[in-house]
Amino acid sequence: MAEPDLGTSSARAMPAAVDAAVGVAAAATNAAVSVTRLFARAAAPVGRLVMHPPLVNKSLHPARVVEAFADRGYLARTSANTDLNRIIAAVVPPVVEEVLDSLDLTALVQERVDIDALVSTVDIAAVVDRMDIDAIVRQVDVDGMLRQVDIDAIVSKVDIDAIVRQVDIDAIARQVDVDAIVSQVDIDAIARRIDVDAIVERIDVDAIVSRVDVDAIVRRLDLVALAEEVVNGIDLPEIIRESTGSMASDVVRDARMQSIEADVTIARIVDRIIRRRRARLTDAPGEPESDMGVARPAPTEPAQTPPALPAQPEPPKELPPLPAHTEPPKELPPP
Amino acid sequence: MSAHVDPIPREARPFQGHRAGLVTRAAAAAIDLAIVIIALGVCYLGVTAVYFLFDPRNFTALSPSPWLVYAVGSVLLIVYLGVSWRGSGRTYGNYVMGLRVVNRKGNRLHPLVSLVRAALYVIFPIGLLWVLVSGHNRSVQDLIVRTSVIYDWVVRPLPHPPGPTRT
Repeated sequence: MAEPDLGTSSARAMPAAVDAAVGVAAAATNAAVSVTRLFARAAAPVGRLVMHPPLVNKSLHPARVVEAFADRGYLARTSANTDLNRIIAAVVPPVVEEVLDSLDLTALVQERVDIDALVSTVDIAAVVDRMDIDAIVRQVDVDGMLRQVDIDAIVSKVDIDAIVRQVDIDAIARQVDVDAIVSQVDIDAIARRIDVDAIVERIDVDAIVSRVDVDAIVRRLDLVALAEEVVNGIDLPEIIRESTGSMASDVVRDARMQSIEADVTIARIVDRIIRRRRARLTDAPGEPESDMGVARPAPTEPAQTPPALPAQPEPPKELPPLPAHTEPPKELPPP
Repeated sequence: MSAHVDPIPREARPFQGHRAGLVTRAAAAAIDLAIVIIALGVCYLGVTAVYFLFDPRNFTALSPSPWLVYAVGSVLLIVYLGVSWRGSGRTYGNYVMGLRVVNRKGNRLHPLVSLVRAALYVIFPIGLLWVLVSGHNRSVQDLIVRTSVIYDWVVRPLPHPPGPTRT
């Protein structure tokens, strides 16, 4: 750390002789003060004796005289102060104004005042506590301020796209409980308020139909498959047979069906007699010629089940669904 | 693309492709036997007519021995059955009853297999009764030559529309 510069006469602004004279004067003064105190201490009893001599009436004591002079001097001094105040009030303001005009106070403050240090000493919290903010706010003309605000200009300066890009819409959407919202919606009430008749009356069905490309719809329809389904549904072959079939074909068909029924019945009886537990495996390899290229519907409806053999546990109930013809069941159910 | 309409009656469709039982097969066999007997009679009448044409004065009705009739009938039956099974898979009796004979792969029979099967039926016709007790509706002959008789109703092809005439 640097040693404080005690300085010599050559380093001081004033000449060394001046400093020496001042030093001497100070030493003399101190000596005089010491001597005076010494004499005052020694002369104190004498002074008291002079001011309050014994055997003399108190009213004639010199101290009384001194006090009287003191009172008079006080009055004179106080009256002199009043006069002085009047003089100062008359003289000081113009003088101070002239002085202030001649000074650059701003520069002076910036140069001389440590504003940071000054501010650091201020207890702003205490200042704020002492402020009546409500009263201040009540005095503010908010409406007037708002009228002066050009909201369009402010909005035009806002980069909404940038704001939107920073928003995580997915996160927001994940937090939305759509089910809860939907559950609170009374769809029935909404539907009841809809005047369907009025809506329907306003619809120009003819205009809509005129815009429909019926040809395109027809082209997209698989009319052949549709026709097959219809034909299978109405059993067209049966109708044809009934309308054009000969007596011989009916006899042959009946004979075949009766023989099939007889086959099933006899097989069932024999199986009971020999106590066969497993069903007969009547499935044969290959595909019957009668099935070639024929897509048969599944016999799901009651009318499609074989009416002649309602109780038979044989192939009709075991066949897989059509139209794709697949292998019939491997096993017949036990009787 | 053409539409296909199933010509099989609904009640018979589920049985198609399954092995037939004894009654149907016996009925078909009876029809075939009747045909062969009729054919034998026709042959007899034909031979008799030939005899009559060659020597009308000394014509007397032929009286073949039973063994000869049985032999000729058997040969006729074997040829008839074998050719039919090899050809369309059906004899006339099968055709009437809606049956078809297939091999173990579901195809038509080899000629030799067809003839052997026919011979087995002529030699041991009782083997057909095994269908009753067979768990697969197969006769002894079917087990030997590994064939099956299935329900396969005849489908008559519809007549084709007349095509464009050539000039």
